[in-house]
Amino acid sequence: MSLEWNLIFILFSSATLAVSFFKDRKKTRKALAVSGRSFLNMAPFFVAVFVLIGILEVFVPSSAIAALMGVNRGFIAVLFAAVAGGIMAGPPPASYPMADYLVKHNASLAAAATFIIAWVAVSTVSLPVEIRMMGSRFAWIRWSLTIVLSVIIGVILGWFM
Amino acid sequence: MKLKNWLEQNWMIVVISMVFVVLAVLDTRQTGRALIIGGTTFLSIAGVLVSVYIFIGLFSVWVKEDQVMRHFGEDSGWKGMFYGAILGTVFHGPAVSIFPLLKSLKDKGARMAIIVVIVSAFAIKIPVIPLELSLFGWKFTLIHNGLLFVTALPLGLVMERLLRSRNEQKER
Repeated sequence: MSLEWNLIFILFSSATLAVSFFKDRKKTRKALAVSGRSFLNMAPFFVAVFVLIGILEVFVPSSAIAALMGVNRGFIAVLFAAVAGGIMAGPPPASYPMADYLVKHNASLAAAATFIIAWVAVSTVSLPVEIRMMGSRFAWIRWSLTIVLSVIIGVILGWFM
Repeated sequence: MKLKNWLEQNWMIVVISMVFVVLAVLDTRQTGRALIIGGTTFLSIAGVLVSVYIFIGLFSVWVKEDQVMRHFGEDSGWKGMFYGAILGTVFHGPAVSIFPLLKSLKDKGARMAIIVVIVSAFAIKIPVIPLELSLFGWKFTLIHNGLLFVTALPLGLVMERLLRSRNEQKER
């Protein structure tokens, strides 16, 4: 399953790259430079996340995840996911393998969605920067509304799935 | 101060490294197993991750931010918000990277709702969709991103309201 997806997307992105290269070589070279730089910048986070997944897998019993974010925990699971995702810091793509780990250990899909949204959008660690640039009122309103939003979307997604 | 900022942004790396070292000393064999599991998990999505970063690069050269930014201003209504939502989805990287741009928009007098729409649509990550599809499937991806897109506009309006009511009180 996973292998197929890898193949599909490698083919798809290579094709897109080829089209881009055909249209504008210079731009495409620049694009690849951006890709490489972004990946290298984020590499430490990826190493950390995959090490974390390994550590959780070996040292934390599956039942602990189920107890916090399990399917039968309902709304509580979503709240835990919002808090867990909200304190995480790292590139958005790293949130998906982490959420996948949670789902594999019986976390609900609602919790997984909330976790991803909270990780990407709530970003508690960048609050100081945000306060400096946008003002504290803006930052705090955005922060709290985003947490609420992540919970709401998680719950709705849970109904649909 | 610089170190403090660095620690704030990278605390996860620091904490995970420390936990890893402690565990490696206490139980080398199990920690080795953890590393292998982490490595295998990485390899199982490595191809998708490579394409995610290829898309991030392509987006950065083919979708120009200033093309979109032209449409913003105090008077731009639904259209401006729509472009805001698009701009937000195209962004990548952690949230810190978006605040300088928001500040410049605010200083130029863009409507607050548009700024908030950009931040909320920021949770949608078009280049990352391959990763989401391969791990969670079509249905999850569609509902998750669809809901984010639909709620970005109302969230922008609510937040504009909240910010404005406070300013009016101040003026009285």
